[in-house]
Amino acid sequence: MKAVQISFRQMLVFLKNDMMLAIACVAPVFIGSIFCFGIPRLEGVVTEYFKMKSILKPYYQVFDVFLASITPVFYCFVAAMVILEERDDHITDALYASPLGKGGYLVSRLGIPGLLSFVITEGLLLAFSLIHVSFLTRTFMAMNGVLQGVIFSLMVVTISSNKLEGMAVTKLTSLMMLGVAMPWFLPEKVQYVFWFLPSYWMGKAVWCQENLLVIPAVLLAGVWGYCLVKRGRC
Amino acid sequence: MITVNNLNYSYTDKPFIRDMSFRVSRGEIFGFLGPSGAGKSTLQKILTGMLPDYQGQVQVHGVECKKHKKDFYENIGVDFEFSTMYEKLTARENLNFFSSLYKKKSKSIEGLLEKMGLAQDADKRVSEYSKGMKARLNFIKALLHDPALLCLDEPTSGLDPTNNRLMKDMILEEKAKGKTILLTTHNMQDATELCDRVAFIVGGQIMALDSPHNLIMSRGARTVTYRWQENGEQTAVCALDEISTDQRLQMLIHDNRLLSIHSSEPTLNDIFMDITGRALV
Repeated sequence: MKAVQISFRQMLVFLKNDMMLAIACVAPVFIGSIFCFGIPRLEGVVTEYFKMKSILKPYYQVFDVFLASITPVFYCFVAAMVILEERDDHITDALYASPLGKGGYLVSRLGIPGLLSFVITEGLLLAFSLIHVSFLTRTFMAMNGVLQGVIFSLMVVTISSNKLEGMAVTKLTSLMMLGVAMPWFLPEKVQYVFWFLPSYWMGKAVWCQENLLVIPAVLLAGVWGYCLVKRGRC
Repeated sequence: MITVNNLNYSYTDKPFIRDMSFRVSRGEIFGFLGPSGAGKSTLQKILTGMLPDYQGQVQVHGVECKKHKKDFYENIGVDFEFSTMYEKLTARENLNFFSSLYKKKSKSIEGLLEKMGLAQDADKRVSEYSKGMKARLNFIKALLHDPALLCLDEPTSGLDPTNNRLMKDMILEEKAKGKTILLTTHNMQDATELCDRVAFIVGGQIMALDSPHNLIMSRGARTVTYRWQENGEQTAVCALDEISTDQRLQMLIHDNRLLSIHSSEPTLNDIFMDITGRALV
């Protein structure tokens, strides 16, 4: 456990030396503030301009679910970039051949950041949510966001062979998050095309206000995670 | 210390390491010699518990490598072929980090840096280090927690002659302290000088295993080469144990007509070529 803590602290030192990744850590706070303060103002402006009662308001939930998804994804993106750079520099081999081991390394690079991003997501949803959601729903949203974030980083690490490729794969992989918006924009029959995305079920859970729909999201995240770890090069 | 019995390993369906068996005793320097892709590094990864999907028995300190616990690494120091340091951190920061992963008290970082001639550059970022400096730093990292087993992969690669000598002296110093050392190398000279025993590995198999001296002596006879002047410069070679029966040499010595004479013995590389049918260096 001591080795895991030290390894995680080392990751923080690493971030101190990498401005891009350090900025990525505070980006969710900016996004949350923009959603919270910018969207209602924008709603005011557009409804007045188009003389309509509401335009963006029916989609406020989408912004909340999106914030719950993007926050852990940012932290897991940072973790994936650190893993890739450590792999590029052959540091992972040295860490595997130490008391930290492969398991400890993955806990320090994916487990702890995932756990922290869960707490941060809860906090950001509490602070910046556009609609009132219950504690349970908020927790489910944060949990699902974290699972998605871990899948995201596993995918980036598995597909890419270096940090440069990782940046490119990140853009492609982040499309997986779009599943959250499908229940609002696609007819029910069509939206099931996205059943394999955990994010779709999270969106569906919020749209239907049915917390049980979190179960398929968690199960699917488990399957994705298992397949990626099995195939993985991390 | 290390026992390997009927080891087989494969990355694909095709066998890569085939039926390897050997033992390494405490305090021994054991060399793995072979061309690139022969299976040396794979073998080292198996011995350090990084590739658990092998068949056969591989025990280090009495622990089966595929079933090792985390404290397994408290007594193993691995010096990888490539630099395994954070490039954006200084040498000192790197060493502090890696030593803190172990429960054992670390050796003096200052002392080791001083010994390896890196004390002046301890606060430089590793990205500013030359290849040779990185190799020395990697070696220090493997020694930090004072492990009983050292696995060194091409430790002298990229070193200038002075630092090469320094590194070899450090390796011999560790051996004198009773450490067991596994040395993976292409460099036959280093192997001859350092290793108590060497294993020639080609195509995932051990082709020969003995001390460098025995390998050299068993396969090749020492020879004497001499030159003299007779219608231009002439050269002849005779076996060292037949020197008294070489009439021409006797006559040249008697007439004081020899231009030069020197004895030579085959190198480990000659033996490697003889046994495996291919050159290593």
